[in-house]
Amino acid sequence: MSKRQTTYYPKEAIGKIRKVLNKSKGLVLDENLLNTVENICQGVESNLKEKKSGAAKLSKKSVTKDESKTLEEQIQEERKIFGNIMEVIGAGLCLLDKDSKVVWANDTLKEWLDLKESPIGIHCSSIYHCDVAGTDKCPAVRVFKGEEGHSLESWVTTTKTKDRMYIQHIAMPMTNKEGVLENILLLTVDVTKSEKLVHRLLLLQQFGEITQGTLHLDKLLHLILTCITADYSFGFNRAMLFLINEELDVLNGKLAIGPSSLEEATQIRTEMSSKHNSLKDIINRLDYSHNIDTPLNTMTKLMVYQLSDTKEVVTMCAKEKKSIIVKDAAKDTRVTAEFRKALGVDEFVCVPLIAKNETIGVVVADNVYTGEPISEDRINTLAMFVNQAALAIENAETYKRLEDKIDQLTETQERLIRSEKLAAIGSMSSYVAHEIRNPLVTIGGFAKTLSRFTFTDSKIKTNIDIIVEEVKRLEKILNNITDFGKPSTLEKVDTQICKIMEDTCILMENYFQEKHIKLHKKFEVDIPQISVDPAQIKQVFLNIIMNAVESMPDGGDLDVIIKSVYKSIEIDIIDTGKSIPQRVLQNIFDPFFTTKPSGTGVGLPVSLKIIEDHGGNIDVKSKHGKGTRMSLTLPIK
Amino acid sequence: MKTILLVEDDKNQRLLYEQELRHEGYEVVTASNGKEALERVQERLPDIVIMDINMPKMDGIEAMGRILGKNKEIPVIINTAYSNYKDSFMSWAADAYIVKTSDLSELKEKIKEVLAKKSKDS
Repeated sequence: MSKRQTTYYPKEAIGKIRKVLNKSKGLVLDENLLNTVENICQGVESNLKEKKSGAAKLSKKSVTKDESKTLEEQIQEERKIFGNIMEVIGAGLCLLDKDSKVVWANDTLKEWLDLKESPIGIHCSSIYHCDVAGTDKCPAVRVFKGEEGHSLESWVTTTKTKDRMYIQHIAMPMTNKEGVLENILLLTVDVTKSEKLVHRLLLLQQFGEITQGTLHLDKLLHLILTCITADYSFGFNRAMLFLINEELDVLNGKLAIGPSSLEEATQIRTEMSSKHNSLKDIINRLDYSHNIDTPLNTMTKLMVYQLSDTKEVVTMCAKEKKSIIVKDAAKDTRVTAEFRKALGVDEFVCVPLIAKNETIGVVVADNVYTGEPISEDRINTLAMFVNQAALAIENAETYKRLEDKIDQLTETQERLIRSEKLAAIGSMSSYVAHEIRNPLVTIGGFAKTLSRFTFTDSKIKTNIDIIVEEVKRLEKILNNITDFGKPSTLEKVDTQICKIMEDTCILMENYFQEKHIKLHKKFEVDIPQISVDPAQIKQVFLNIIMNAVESMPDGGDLDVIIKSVYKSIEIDIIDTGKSIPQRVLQNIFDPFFTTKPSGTGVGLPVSLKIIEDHGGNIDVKSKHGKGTRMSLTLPIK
Repeated sequence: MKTILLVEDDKNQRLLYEQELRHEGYEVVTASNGKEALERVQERLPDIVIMDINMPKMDGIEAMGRILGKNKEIPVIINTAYSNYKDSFMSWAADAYIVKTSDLSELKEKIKEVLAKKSKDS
């Protein structure tokens, strides 16, 4: 700093700083900082006044050498005080000359901008690393052009703490004694806190907008936890979400997001800060399958707490509908040893998810890797956010319930339509079948009587035989329709399913042999007896096995598996034949739908009807080139 | 020679059964509905009745009931296109229940069987 400048510097500088501070009041949200600077300025000013009057008194007298020495010392001390002030105001200061070269900078700025060497004489753009130098956007340039104080905001990363800072540069004109603009004072203020606050509010708004359109519950939960853990928003290291299951009266772990190790945490942090992600970006990029298999998530999903258990911190949070901050879990009586062990951290926060005055869940967040303390205001914004999230979850859940109900309704409707169809078609077909049966009997019967006569032309005999054969075939089809078209009332008796299957297989033994089918039976031992209509179940087995065999015209393997699966018996009939094409698959249970040249299209619908009448279900899976698996389930009791 | 009362409303079918049963060596009397059947029985008691069910004026079940009400020893074979009457308890009174097919061998077998049983019982 040159001597010339120091002669007027302190007073002017203070004036300027004050001016800047006054202006900044609108911009900078940290009132405390402003007040401190203001106080310091006042102190220095009054101090200066005193010195000035002292100096004036001195100048009236003839100044002795001693006195001038004292004065010199006083000025030196003054400078020292001023220097200190510059450092303690907690803002960066920099004086630029007309060519935007640095004349002077304080240590705070050097630290913030990570300057290892003295910046004096260097062009401002190379220390501020800004891309607006020399352009109209540069606050210094604008002030040189005669505009009043101008500011610019940007993100920097400080070396000391590796923290990202949001700083504001304010440029102020400095004139010399003659009132000519000679220097620019650049005041750099740390506005990270206010910026983060603004950012969070913005995030809340954005989140509100987005969640209104997100009704998919899993997606929503993922989104919520991503917001809580994203570095640029709340920046918690980990977050876990619990939802209340009203039916079971428990708090159930649903999802957790967060790195599993410190390395992963650092990697994610750098990745996140290198890209300026907006919430929309994150949503678009969200990979819902990712992060699902983390140990943290698996552990969370296994966590279940009875709501009546008031000793657990999460249930307490849910019951009291208040955020709970735990600073030292080891000493906190509200935290059980089990929960502390699961979390593995001493400081964490529990925030209730409240929708329409009812707690629907709890969010737990911590900073296990960075160890950053959780501040009160952060929790407040988190609570605001979580409340909004709760409403969104509630909406999504309501929507899901509605969707389930609609699905149920559609299914019931479909089943109703199918059985109506079956009944209508059944009565119609039985009418038609009988009407046809009578003339068929006459045709076939008479044709047969003809075969008793002798004919000279052998062709006549052949033709009569054809008539007889064709009538037989027609009668067979009619039998299928009339016998299966109307399943009669169930006559249930306690039956061993394996036995029915065994009988069915024996019945078809010759058929298997003829068609080169290898049968593999795998019946689980201890299959319990269940109450079914044996004749009808046998009919179902016959229908399905017949279909399976017909799908293997060149022979193949037929697996028949019977096993008990949680309160029901599962019967799998697996063939290695021609698979069922997808478009056919959706129609196979429709009455009179058939792809077989001589099929009637009643076998499968009637089978399904019988199984459904027994309270069971049929599931079909068919893979191209791999055959078909028919899975029948029948409830045990 | 055993006499069969054939009750059948379908003209052509009646002809078929008549021909076939005569060929088997039976004397065949025909009726085209239940009412006629009752008249034929009054005129002359047959050895066996073959009864269709769905017929105009009086159906086979009712006719069978009336015939058996007076002469309970006359055997009746129900010969119908419907299989579902099998479950009707009225049809249990019949000695046999046959679902019509173009192959008459089952009917012929049953007639022989029932007549043999009748002569054995009497």
